[in-house]
Amino acid sequence: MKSKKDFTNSVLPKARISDIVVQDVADETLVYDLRNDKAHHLNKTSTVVWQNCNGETTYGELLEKLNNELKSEIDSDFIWLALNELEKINLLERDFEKSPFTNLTRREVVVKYGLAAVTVPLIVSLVTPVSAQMGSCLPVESPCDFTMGTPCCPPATCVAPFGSNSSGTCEVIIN
Amino acid sequence: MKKLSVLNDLGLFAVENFFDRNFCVELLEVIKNSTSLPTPLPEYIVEGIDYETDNKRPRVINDYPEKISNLLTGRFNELIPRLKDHFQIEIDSIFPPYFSIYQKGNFLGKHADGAETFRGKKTKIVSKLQSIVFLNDYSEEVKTDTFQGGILNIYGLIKNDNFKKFGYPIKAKTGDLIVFPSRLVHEVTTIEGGTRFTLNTSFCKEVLFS
Repeated sequence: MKSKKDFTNSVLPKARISDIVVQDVADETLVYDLRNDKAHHLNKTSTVVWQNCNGETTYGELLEKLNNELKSEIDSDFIWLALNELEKINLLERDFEKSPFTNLTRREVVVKYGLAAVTVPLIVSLVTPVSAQMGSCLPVESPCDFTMGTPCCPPATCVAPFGSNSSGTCEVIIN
Repeated sequence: MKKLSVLNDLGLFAVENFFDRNFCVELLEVIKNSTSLPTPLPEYIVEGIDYETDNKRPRVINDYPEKISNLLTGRFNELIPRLKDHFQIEIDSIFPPYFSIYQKGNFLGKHADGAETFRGKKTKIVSKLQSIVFLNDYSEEVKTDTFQGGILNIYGLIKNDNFKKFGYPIKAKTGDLIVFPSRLVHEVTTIEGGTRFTLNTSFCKEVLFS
């Protein structure tokens, strides 16, 4: 097992760049994994760590960046926490050498460095709907479109006026 | 716990500490001294709501002292200009705020809240935005005055085609406010421990129809 000092000059593992879709949200990142149809939200710190997993940056260099950004005196365990989270959701290219600090929790990191909880690496996994339903629906009397866009909320359906072939209004049909 | 301000970039309107903790404690006292009823079924059910399982439905309190009701209504009314600006929609009124109580085993499946109330023959009030203020903390571990489970998942929040089918899980803190479009499908997952208390209301638009 390597000591902390050994890791300082080691290069960080590489981030996976294939089969993913990335969307920036302010200084945070949304990642959609095409391999397993899962999506995740990386907070700012996790984003910084992931972006530096480029096959060039060393642990020491990343520590310096994070210390400047967080105005703190964090240690490698902070990076390990982020890397372990990124590894769990398969956002790192390959297995990397395991840290001696893998059991550190977010709470322990918050306490150890006296940081605000929001600055500690965090990944929120988004929830997949059980059915193939859409993410939103239109209330009754909303304009709707047959060919694309958001469907009407059940039990309403999109009803078109005579002569229209694509647009209509969400209505509840009572038989 | 996620920094709520980031949710504003996803299209939500979120305010941390909208109510301070002491005020939330006062509201919990109001809840204790009021009578609750089963939550009315949402108007647009998508899935996960069983009409036969009343015991799984959360309860609501909409009858509580007028002084508190006026105070809460005032706080929400103050938000209207900011919400109009944020969501770029017209809002002219709010539904009377009500408390929601989720006990262990309670949940509310996927639904949307596009409620409409008719006023006379030519006017109706349409719910445009839903708001929730959390009155106690979510916690992963069992702790006094917290709840486990009971996560608010909002679907369709992220506009990108790749992401819009996913639900965004919101674990807010005591006093935090979340506002989102009523048409978005959302759910509250099963409470695994403790009791979840929230204060809810809808921001509405009066619509004339013929």
